Amino acid sequence: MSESSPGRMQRLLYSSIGAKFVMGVTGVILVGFVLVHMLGNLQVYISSDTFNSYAQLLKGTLPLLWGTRITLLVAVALHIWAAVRLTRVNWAARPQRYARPQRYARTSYAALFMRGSGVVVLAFIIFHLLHFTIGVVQPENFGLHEVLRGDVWVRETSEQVVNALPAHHVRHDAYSMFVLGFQNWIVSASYIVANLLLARHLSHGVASMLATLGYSKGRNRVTAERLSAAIAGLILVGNLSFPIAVLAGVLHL
Amino acid sequence: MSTHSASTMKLTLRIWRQKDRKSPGALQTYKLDAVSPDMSFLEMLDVLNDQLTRAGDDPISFDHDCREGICGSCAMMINGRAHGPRKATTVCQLHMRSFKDGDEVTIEPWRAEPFPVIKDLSVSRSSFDRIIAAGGFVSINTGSTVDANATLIGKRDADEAMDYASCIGCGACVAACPNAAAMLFTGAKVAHLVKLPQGEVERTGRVLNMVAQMDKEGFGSCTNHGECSEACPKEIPFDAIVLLNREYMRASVLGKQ
Repeated sequence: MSESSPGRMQRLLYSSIGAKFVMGVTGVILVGFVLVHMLGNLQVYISSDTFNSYAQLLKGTLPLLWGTRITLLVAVALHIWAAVRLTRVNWAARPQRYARPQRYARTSYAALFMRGSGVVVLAFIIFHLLHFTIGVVQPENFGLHEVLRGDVWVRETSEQVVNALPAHHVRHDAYSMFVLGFQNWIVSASYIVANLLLARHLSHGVASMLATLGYSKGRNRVTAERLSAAIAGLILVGNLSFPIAVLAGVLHL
Repeated sequence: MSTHSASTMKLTLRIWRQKDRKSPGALQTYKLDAVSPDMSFLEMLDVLNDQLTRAGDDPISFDHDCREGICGSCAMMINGRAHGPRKATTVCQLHMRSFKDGDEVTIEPWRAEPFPVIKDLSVSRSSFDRIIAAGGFVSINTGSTVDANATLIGKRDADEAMDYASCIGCGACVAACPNAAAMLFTGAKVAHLVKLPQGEVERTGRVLNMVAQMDKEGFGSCTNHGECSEACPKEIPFDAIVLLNREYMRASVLGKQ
């Protein structure tokens, strides 16, 4: 072994396959989060109290909240870094394109459109955070609260009442924020479009990450592709149900 | 002149002409009559070149050697497909019966930065040779012949190794890949030795060095489209790429040279 040989990590990160591993591992983290996020939000169908208790639990458990936030932020950053790096390598690998475009035999629009769907999903994530996490998009819906009256939580619109109560007697009214948010047609339409593209991204992304991480050999390749379609479909149906349920009046205040 | 028999075809050929590595190229149109459906694609080009030579024009440069589907020389993109429309077929084994009378056929060289055009349809695939060279040697005992059954290899491993070893290095995988990646080629070269005890000694260093050379040559990286194994005339399975990923991960963790 020569002394000048680069370290393992350095060699791995500078290699194309290393960047693919980064893409795959961060992909697992991100798709895992999206799935759990969707499943958690399904509690909106149980009752407003269940949903708000869930929101209270998430926001109240600080190590979980910030651990998740930091992990996701790092995962998104690395996912984008790997995408930019591999895209540059791939574009440089074919500076002169075919005069007559290639006729593909197997690949999908989803696979060929990963960069486009990724950029739209990124823009949507920023919008989504501004909407429901930071409260910039619809600030009037973000400041809603529930207060504890005896054993039950009730909606309270008076800021003076809310401010006068001790902190453990007040909680965010995430349910009202959710319903009022999706009653806006433009907001709902943007969620629907973004989730259609997210599903496209995942329908190739999940299968692709399983191949990169070494799973998809032999018959596993078919399993990986089915799993990919199933996860993308599940997330799509779950996430699209929210704006549609609000617009259809199934979920209301 | 006599009329052509009903079975011959007239074709319009659009062929990439490029004087040398530095000059820009362009598609040029040629009309060819009396193409027999029994000709191979290369024989059709031979007929065209014969006509061009007789007319005092520069014949089209294209690579060919064995004309029996095992040398991997006859690299060309035909109507947007590596080696033409038929699965598991090199250009020399492609026959004109795969085309119809009146067809327009576009023929281009492989397009990839590590496959520079030498002239017309001929590209240099020396980058593949350098990837193989980076893999190094295999340590085996020489001298007296080893007993046939001294080292037992399972049937499944032997078959799989043989499948990967059938790669002829033609470059169709790179040509067909949307990213011009060489992962199927490099994967096949790594994988056929991974499956055999003879490849075990240099296993870790081999994959690290071959991938490093693959990256250095300027090939793209795989985004799992699967076009490579569809285009491969030897039908090397996509598994070669999955195995390459596994081997690279393993080698990176073990970290030996």
